[in-house]
Amino acid sequence: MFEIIITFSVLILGTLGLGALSGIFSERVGVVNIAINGMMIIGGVIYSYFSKYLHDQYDQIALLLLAGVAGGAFALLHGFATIKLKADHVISGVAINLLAPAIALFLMKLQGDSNKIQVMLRDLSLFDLKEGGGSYKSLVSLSLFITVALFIVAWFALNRTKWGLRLRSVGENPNAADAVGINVNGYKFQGVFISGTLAGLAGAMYVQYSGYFLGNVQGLGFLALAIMIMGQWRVSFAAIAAIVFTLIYSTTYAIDTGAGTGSIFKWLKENTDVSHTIPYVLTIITLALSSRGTLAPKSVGLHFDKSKR
Amino acid sequence: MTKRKPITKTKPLEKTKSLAQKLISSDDTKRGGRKFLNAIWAIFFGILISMIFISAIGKDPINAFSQLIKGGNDLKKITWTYFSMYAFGGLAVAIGFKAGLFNIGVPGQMMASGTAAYFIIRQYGSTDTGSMIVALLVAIATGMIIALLVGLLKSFLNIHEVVTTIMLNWIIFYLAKYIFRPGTKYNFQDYEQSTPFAGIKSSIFNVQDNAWIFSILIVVVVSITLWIIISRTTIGYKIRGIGINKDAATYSGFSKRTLISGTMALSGALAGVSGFMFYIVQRSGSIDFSSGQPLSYGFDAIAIALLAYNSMLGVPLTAILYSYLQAGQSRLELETGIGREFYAIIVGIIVYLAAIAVIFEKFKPAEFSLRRLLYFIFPSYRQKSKKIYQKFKAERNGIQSDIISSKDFYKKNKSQLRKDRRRIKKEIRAVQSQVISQNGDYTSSKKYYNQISDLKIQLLGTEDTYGKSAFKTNKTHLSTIRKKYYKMFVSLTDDYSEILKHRTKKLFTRKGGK
Repeated sequence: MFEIIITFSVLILGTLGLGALSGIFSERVGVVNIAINGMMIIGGVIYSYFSKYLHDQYDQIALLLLAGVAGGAFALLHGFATIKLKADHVISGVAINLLAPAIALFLMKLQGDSNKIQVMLRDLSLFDLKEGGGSYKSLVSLSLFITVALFIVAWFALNRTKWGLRLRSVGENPNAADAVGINVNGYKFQGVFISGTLAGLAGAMYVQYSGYFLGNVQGLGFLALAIMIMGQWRVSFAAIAAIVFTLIYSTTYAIDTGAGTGSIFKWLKENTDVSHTIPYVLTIITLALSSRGTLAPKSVGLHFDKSKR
Repeated sequence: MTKRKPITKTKPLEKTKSLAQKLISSDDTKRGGRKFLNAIWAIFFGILISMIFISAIGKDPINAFSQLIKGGNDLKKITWTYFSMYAFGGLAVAIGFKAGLFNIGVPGQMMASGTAAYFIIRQYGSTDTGSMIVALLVAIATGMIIALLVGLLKSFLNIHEVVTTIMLNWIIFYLAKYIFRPGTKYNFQDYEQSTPFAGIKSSIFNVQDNAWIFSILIVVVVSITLWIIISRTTIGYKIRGIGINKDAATYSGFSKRTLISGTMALSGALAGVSGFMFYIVQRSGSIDFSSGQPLSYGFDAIAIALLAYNSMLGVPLTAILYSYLQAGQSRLELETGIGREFYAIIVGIIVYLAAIAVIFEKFKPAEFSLRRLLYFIFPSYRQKSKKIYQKFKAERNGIQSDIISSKDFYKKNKSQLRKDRRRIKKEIRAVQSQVISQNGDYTSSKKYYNQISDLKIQLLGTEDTYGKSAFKTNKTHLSTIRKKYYKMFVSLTDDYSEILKHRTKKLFTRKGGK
């Protein structure tokens, strides 16, 4: 049973964890990002579209990079609207969320089948997903390596470098940052671009684990947003939140596949829809029990006005 | 023409203008009318861009849009029941935004209320008008309770409403899917959807019958009521206050918790009506789960509210746009072969343009045509504006040569300037490091400070010697000149438009008098 749980959570951790990290980078520079879902879709469609032309398993490293860059470029659209034109962050985010599936559908139509893209380039790992079941071998996988590495790099960059301090200051008090000579809009654009890149990667990882692309990422971007808020806009907390959530999430799927004995498990197995609600219910309960003051960046959602300092 | 009395602005005109502004936008800012115009321009340009897009893929754009509108008109009854779904969803989101709450939970609230209403009708009632109204009330109550839960969690336990609503969307989705699993009382087929009603007897709730009239009526009544509540009552004042500033409630002494929970409950009630109109009336009781995720129409509600700038009277207007796009797309696909991605692209472009509506702020075609009109009517205006332009031209040409020569000089010496600056900066750094190494020795460090300040003066001096500062001052000079003449031109235009207004008024009063 634990093998299945581990296998599945490794698969989903890349998507949800990197999605949450994407939200952190954007919101720490003060740009509300509800467009994680849209940026993930862009990453997913780019990955699946170009995977048609590549067949070697190791090509996926290049593809992941491409998906990330595409997501980042798409995020600049959000950055342009919110930073340069001082648009409402939520409106722009909703627009991005609407545009992304449209672009995805357009690309899907270009490649022939407008409903589905089959993806052959699955996660590079010791354990082949097609075998079915689960194995501890899946712990040695590229997606898990990238996710863990990016979390560590992100934590170090944000909390232990000059660049990270400046980035965070832009989200907390942009006018103070401006007064000491930091290029506020430059840092905001950097944050949004990194956010898009991470979301694009997350989308590509979603496609890797599902094996096909149907034009959306099943709302996992919104879940990533929720995990980011659960993680209180901090990399370390978000990592814990993502791991705990994915473990619970994959446990329900392990129950679906018939792991676990006892009458409760049996009933849950027969009624999978009820067991699927468990991670969400537990999340709300955990948050209710551990309620405290929010650690959100002070100036998130506000526009930087140079004349206000 | 030159000698005239200052004309005071006419009062009735002002009155109608402000009333129109208030009607259009409930944000009590001076820029309400401008916002409305921006939204109109966003929609206009969104349609224009998507037309270009359509012609780029080799289809006829005019035909596509006429097919879309025809499709919407063909399915008039369905279009207008979509309308009430979108309008109520949009109102639910908009009223949340008024209080600074982001209700992403409209899909969940819709599904829950639809499920509850379905359950009531199947279990206890028939489909006559009486039990449908009871079911509607149950739907409202369900939406309200779920949103109230979110509000309570937000106000008492400080859980972000975005998290709770997203989680509740999924919880409700799976629970409803469980209730309507195949092989139960409510689902005797093998599909992932509840069995629809055989036919709704009550004509005002039957989509084939008069449901569309009922749907328009209810939207009009509710949106006007909400507008009055928001902009004319104390409760609305409080809601807006808490939306503008989180601490407004604390400072003015009304309960923040009650307000947040209450607004959220109201939002949920509206989402409940939306769910009823969609699942029970529009789909006549078929609750579909095959998409595998919460209802996407519920997320569209966010775009509808935002496109209307959260105005209670603007939401129905954007909902019309959405319902036509939604209902017309099947005919569009049939006639022209343009698929659903087109619908998504046009909506996405419109909302993005609405987000960046600031770019339309300077877009004033009316002003442009006014200027043309003034040219046409007043020859003196044309002469004067020409004179202003000539003066401007003369002054600009006077400094133009200066600018060009200084620019050339600066460009020539740019690399040298950079080299010099780099060298001086290096020297400064060297001196600084010496200061650091001899830390504590006051007398010597003072000497170094003098050196540093000398070097810094040199650094600034390089800009002068290589012509950068001269170029800069010339440039600012040009822009001040341009501003000066533009101001003159604007005031001239204002004067003449006042004269025009005065004359037309006179014309009308003379006629009316005799």
